[in-house]
Amino acid sequence: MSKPILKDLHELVEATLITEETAQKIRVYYNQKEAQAPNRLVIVFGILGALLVGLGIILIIAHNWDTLGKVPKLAIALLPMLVGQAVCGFVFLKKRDHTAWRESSAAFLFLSIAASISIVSQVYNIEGTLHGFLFLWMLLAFPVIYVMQSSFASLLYILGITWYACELSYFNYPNETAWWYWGLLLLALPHYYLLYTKRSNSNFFAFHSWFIAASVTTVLGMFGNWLEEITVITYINVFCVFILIGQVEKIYQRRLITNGFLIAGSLGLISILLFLSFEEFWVELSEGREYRPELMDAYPYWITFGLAIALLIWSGIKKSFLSLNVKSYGFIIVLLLVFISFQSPQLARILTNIILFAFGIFTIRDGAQQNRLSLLNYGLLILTALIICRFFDVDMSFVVRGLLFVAVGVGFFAANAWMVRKRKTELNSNV
Amino acid sequence: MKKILLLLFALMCLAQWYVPGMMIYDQEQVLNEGKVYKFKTRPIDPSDPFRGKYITLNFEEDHINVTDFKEWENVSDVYVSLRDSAGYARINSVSMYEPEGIDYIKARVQSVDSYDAPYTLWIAYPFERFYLEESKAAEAERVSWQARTDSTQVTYAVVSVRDGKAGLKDVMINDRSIADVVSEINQAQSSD
Repeated sequence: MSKPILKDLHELVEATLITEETAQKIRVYYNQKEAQAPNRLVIVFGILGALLVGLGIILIIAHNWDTLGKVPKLAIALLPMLVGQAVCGFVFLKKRDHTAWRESSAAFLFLSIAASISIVSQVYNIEGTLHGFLFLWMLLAFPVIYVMQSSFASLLYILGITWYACELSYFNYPNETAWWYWGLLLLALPHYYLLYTKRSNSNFFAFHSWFIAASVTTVLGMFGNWLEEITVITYINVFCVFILIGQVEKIYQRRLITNGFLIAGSLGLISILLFLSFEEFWVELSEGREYRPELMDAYPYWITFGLAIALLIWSGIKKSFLSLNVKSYGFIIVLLLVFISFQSPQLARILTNIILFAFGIFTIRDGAQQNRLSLLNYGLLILTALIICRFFDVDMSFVVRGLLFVAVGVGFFAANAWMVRKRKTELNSNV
Repeated sequence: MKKILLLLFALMCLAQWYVPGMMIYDQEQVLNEGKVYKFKTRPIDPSDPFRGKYITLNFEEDHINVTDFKEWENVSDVYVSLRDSAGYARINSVSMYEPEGIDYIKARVQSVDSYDAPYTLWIAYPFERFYLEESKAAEAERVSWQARTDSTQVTYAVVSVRDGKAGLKDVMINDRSIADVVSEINQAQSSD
């Protein structure tokens, strides 16, 4: 009975806005809804409990008890996995409809696999690298997602494969490209799709959007063995893919904060464009003649480009090309800029500034049209960031710079005031 | 659908047992049936987030001179043939191909020095970690460093070798297990 509307029912009946009968119907509706929904608190604490116990076991095992012989040590190591499998088996057969049971038993089994491999390695002093260990763990753990239909296991899995890719591509020397990461990520996507089709309103679905976007953004730098500039524009492709995914109907309809793809894609794209609005990037790109053949060979770039094009066409046909967020076209614009920069880096730089300015204006327009203050202010922030960047490298007089800042500041006030007044007018006209 | 999932569940459980099971089986084979070598070493003390405290072993016999460094530059795995010299393991030769009729270990190439001839090929063995109880690893490192400065003491790893695979049995200081040496020191310190 925590819904605010339920607390106001008495007041509404007294004010004769609704009848007692309607009030009773509303109460019954919310009571039924509450009874049908799984208790979130139980799920959260169930998962938290399983997580803490699992991690605790890993830490206790890591102490490496010398007084125990080899066989007791191995038995203790494998016991949590046996218990995890037994509990999962019981839940699978008897309590499949209980989310809390499914999620917590899956989380426990997920962690107990790590404990079992760890202690066997420890007992036999098997060397093995951390990335090798993570790879094996994830490979053994991914069926848990599907067999137990566990979204939490899926989130743990995404974390695990991200860690694996980071270990191999960033923390390990010599660095290697974590190709297997992409295969492992593909294994997690059917579960994400299932969530999309069946439970797109759930928190787990929102978490998955954020986790996948964050994971791909984190590991994409693994292709750093190509020239740095090519990695930068590969990121542009991926951010545009995120923006396009974020506009898929069921994802787009929900609250903005749940749309990890759209937020990560948009912020990522704008940040990189701000970086590209400086001279250095384009000068480097045009000076190194080797970039042209290198760009042709850089297949991570072209694969992500192809993916972005395919998604753009699909989204354009489903909605309409004009209704798509203008930032969705960022990757095509940047490729054109790259070709322009081979002739004139200065022109490419100027065009980048104009495009960023246009993105800012379009975002403000969208905010105004959709009556969303957050979007409107985001557009204004893009413009502010652009002006701050130009503060550093343009030979502009202090007066002009000052005037620009004042103009944007006034713009913030004016736009917000206009939006608030518009909302008030709409509210009054509705009354 | 439930039947398929049940089958998947059974397969998953089997795979989860197969991996640690094979690790145990492989190591037991090497430890029980392999030939034992002693590798002179000096340990240092790091830790692993999952497996706890261990000492890293730095072996004396971890390099060999090669005539042509270019030949080894892009090689990741090598086969190290061993011989026994005065009770301790010595590298006989290093090859890119699996040798026959001699004890050998499959190892990784750490690096190849290419500055001056003779060029040195550095090898990373698959048994450079020795896991110890949490409280003992740091002390074990200190004890073995003391042993190093004392020329009468020898620290070595006891390694079982079979068909290219190796299993680390123990690390010894003057024929006593390093775990026992450290236990004794810890006990003496706690009774003081």
